[in-house]
Amino acid sequence: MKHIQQTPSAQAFLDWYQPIHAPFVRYCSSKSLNSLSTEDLVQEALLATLSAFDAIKDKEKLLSYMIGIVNNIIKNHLRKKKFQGQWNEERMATIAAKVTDPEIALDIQYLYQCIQKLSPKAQEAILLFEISGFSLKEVSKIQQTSVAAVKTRLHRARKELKRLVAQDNRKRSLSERMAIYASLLF
Amino acid sequence: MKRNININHSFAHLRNLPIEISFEQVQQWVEKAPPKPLIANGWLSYWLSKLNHWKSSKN
Repeated sequence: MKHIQQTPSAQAFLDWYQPIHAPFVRYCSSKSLNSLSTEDLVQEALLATLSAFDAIKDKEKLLSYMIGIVNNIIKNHLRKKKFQGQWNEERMATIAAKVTDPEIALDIQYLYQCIQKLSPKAQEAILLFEISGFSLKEVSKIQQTSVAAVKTRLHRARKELKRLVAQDNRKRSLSERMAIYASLLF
Repeated sequence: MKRNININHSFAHLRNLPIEISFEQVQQWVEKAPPKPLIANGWLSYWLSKLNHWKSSKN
């Protein structure tokens, strides 16, 4: 393997980052479904964190900082988009490309739609713990709260998700119908 | 159409998907990251502009 020459802070950053690499990429992947590529999101967030690595003395706060950067990038990107619909062909195509079974891809697409209806904190907790695979302690650090509070948040979020998943065959709102028509037209 | 979605199974499926970016890729990004600009003295540019202004007013 090629030996990579790095500055001490870059090496320290990589040492800190390596254990959270897989869950972090999964989190970015779940956040970037209908906006930008996972690779672009991971790269942008990593380089922004790297540039602030030396300035942040308390490394315990670094993970929270990095997740905050990801959320802000997504927020800014979605703001720039002219139209946001819950029905999204692009998102479905992204999921289908990752999951080979079309039935599971459809389940996941529907599950993501339900996750989007949760409160922002509950949504983040579900994405971090259930999908990305961060530990409860890490989620509590990211959300700057106690482990017990995260457990409660997750319990309520799962309960709400079960309710949302069970609630089907309902009449779609005008905005949802408009989103479907627009996705078919353009 | 009503779908019976197993939430826990779908979560487990998502968690077990292979990740799209390897750690080696990240190492390369970090290696190629542009160096941070050296800000030795934030006041330097201010004093230089003051000095230039003083010099031009003297002439």
